[in-house]
Amino acid sequence: MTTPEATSTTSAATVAAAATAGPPRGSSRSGEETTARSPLALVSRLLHLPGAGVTISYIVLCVILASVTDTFFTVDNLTIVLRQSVMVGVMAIGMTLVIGMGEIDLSVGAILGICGLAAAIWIQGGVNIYLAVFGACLLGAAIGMCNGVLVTYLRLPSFVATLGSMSVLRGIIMVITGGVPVYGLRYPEFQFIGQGFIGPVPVPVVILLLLFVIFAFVLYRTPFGRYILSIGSNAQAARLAGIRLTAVRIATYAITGFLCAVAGVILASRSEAATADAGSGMELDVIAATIIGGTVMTGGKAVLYGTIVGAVLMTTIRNGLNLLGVSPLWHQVVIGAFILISVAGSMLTVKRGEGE
Amino acid sequence: MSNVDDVEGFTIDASGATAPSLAHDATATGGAESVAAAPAGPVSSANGSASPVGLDTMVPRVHMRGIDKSFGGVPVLKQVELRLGSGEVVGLLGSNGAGKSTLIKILSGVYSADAGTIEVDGVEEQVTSATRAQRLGIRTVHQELSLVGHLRVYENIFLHDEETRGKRTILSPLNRATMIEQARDLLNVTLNVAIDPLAEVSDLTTAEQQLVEIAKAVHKRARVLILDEPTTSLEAREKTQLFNVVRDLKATGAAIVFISHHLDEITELCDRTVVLRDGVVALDEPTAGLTARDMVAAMTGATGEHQYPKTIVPIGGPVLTVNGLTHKTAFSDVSFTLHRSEILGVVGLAGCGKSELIRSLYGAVPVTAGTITLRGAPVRIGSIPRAKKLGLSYLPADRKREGIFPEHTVRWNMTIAALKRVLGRFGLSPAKETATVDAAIVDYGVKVRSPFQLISRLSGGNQQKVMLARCLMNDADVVLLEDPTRGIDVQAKNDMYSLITGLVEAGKSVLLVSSEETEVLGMCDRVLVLRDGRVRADVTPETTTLETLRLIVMSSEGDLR
Repeated sequence: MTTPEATSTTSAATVAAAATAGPPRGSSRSGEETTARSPLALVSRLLHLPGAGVTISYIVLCVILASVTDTFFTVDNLTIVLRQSVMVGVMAIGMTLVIGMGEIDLSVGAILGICGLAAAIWIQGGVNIYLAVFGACLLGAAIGMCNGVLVTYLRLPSFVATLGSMSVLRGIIMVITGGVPVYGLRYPEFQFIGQGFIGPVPVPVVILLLLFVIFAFVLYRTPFGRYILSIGSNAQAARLAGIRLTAVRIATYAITGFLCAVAGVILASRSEAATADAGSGMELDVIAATIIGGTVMTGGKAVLYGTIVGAVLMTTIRNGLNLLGVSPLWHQVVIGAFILISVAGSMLTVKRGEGE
Repeated sequence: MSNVDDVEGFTIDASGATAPSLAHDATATGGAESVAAAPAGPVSSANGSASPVGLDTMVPRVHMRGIDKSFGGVPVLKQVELRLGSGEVVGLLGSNGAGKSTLIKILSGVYSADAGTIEVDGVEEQVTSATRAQRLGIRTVHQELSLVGHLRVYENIFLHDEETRGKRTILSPLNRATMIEQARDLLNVTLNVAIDPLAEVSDLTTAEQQLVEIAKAVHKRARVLILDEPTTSLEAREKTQLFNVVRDLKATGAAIVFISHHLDEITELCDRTVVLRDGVVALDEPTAGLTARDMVAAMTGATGEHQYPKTIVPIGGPVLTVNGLTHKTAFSDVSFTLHRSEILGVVGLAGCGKSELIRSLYGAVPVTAGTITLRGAPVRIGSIPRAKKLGLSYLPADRKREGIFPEHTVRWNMTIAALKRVLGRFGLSPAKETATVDAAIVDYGVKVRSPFQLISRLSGGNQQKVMLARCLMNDADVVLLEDPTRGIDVQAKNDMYSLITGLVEAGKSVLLVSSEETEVLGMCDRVLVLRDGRVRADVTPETTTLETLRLIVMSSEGDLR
């Protein structure tokens, strides 16, 4: 009965490809059902891959924008879009882990803010730039760990815990800055992080891709990744399987904090400043990118590839509205409506998708 | 006393709409004079000798006759007759699958019978839905309570039946004072329990919640109250309280069905005992003349012995020795030794402590005293990862809640507890994982189309085989199984038994915790019986009959063997 498993995913396949195909299913299933060779069956199978929905939405949007504007489908514009999606994308990688674990983190924007600020203050204070950046990343991880401790040892629901830490962090930022931005971070090494290019590719985009590959590996090819999703799927079963719930939860929050710090450093570098409201409201974009990408709020499954496309998609919508001359006042409305429609769509197909 | 007289004196034509009930009178819906009468009513008649005189000659509250029911062509009930007199507590007994719950579900309108009639107060009724049953005054208090946790006690009692000022519409202002007053009367006077009607239900103990559930049933004018294993999670003092409430209710003329596996409770509380066996009534007699042994004999009968695929494997030296193990509440002073290639059974009713015992050996539940010796060395287990490292593994009883990861594949579910085994040079190795899982699917006889099938798509039996495969992926040599055959079909059960036999043939030691006496007798080399948290017997299946084993499991009479 068991067909020779198409072990195409083994060594040859890149991690990114494995992530694209989604956890363990996609790739090997294609071997199982080779009998259905008709193009229609192929299309249907592609449509059922995790992240397919968001990819299609993105392509459709691109086609529309490319046909109604002259400026959208240019290298310059696409580069801008990519660069703008990096911050949300990097944080959404962490959010995908957290939501996959069945939790939520509302403090991501605030962590971005305080870590960018810390880097800025340390650099202005004369600390070595690399040391300052490293320190900011450590700070992010430490704050994430605190979130983890709140939801594990203190047993706070993650929504409440991270809502609280968001407020505390925002408050600390205001206390430190008094609302006045830290300006003038014009140091070439620092500027390079947010503004530089490696060949034709912007450095932030390189960072995002690198992090995507690393975390796709972590999520789909390490025990740790499986533990995260197991906890999201059935925490009690995970405990009885011998998974250390507390450790995995704290580590996941710490990783998310670290990723927010990376985003914070990129933002500070790009704007050569750290403002008090940096990252404000971004948690919503981050959660939206994750959900649009196909990760389910209840946890247990995570589509990292979809998250990245989701982040790019959201930026593309904003970009498109700009190009079309729509007032920025309307952007929130359109984005909100889009989130509602796409999540509703995924909810409706969820039952069918499970079956396959 | 007037309302008690009413109860005694009512005739067939007084039934239906006007049949007096405890709730009606005692909760003062009737007017001022009832309020005054209510406290005296039930309490005094409970003490007096007035009520149960001449019950047999009266029309019973409920009379189920010739009830047949089958599922998918398999008969579950055959010509069952059940009489519930008013003011009578009937104990309903039977082993799992005897048809108890089917019978109760027919009475409460969940299922409809294939044949037979149900008479309520002498009038034949079609109990076609749960709503209809409730309208007839038939109420069930389930083990899983149906109260709303964050509402107050009185709000729960009056849920969907709120007292309002003026006309009852969905927007009428609630008459809180009246509801609280009535609830207080019902709880503190009628049922004589000290529960504050203003307390939030989630703050109450399980026992108190159960009493609130009963109060709710009484308030809704229950004339037939079905208590489905109400004592499973109660302590001795709480049981006494529950029994007092039941006796008070009985004095008001309600008919009560009391389902329990604890024979001592049946003896203490019930007027009559009905035993179901394989869908027929095996015993229906006044409890007064019955011993626990009679009841067990009726439950057991001369049932054809199920063949278990047990092979004789020479038993080796001691592997796991437990001495004086004690849990905060669930069990105390448990000692036993598990040997190599031995299947040691632990059997007992729900709530006897067997579940906590097996979990404590897996480090999932803390113990307060006792020592554990593993392969000759004293160990402290403490945590689940530690237990795994020591070579222990555990199969939880509740597959759905504690076993499977429903949105993941068979492969994922099998390897999750032993991912070290499938690590390659570069993270998890799909090749290794595929090889491991393919082998396990063959070894454990799991029927799947592909290892990438979602586990939630498999039958219960196949899911359980995947769970067993996961359990043994770590090469544990002490295997702790809790109810491994719960809720799976006969074929899968036999497969599971063969797999368990295979384990001991391979030199592993198995602790088999089970709620089925037949299973442990058929599969185990030795059987411990746990009742009320203590080991009551240590028997060998060759020298023990099913009847004797059940007697020890279900009744203190078993200790006198």
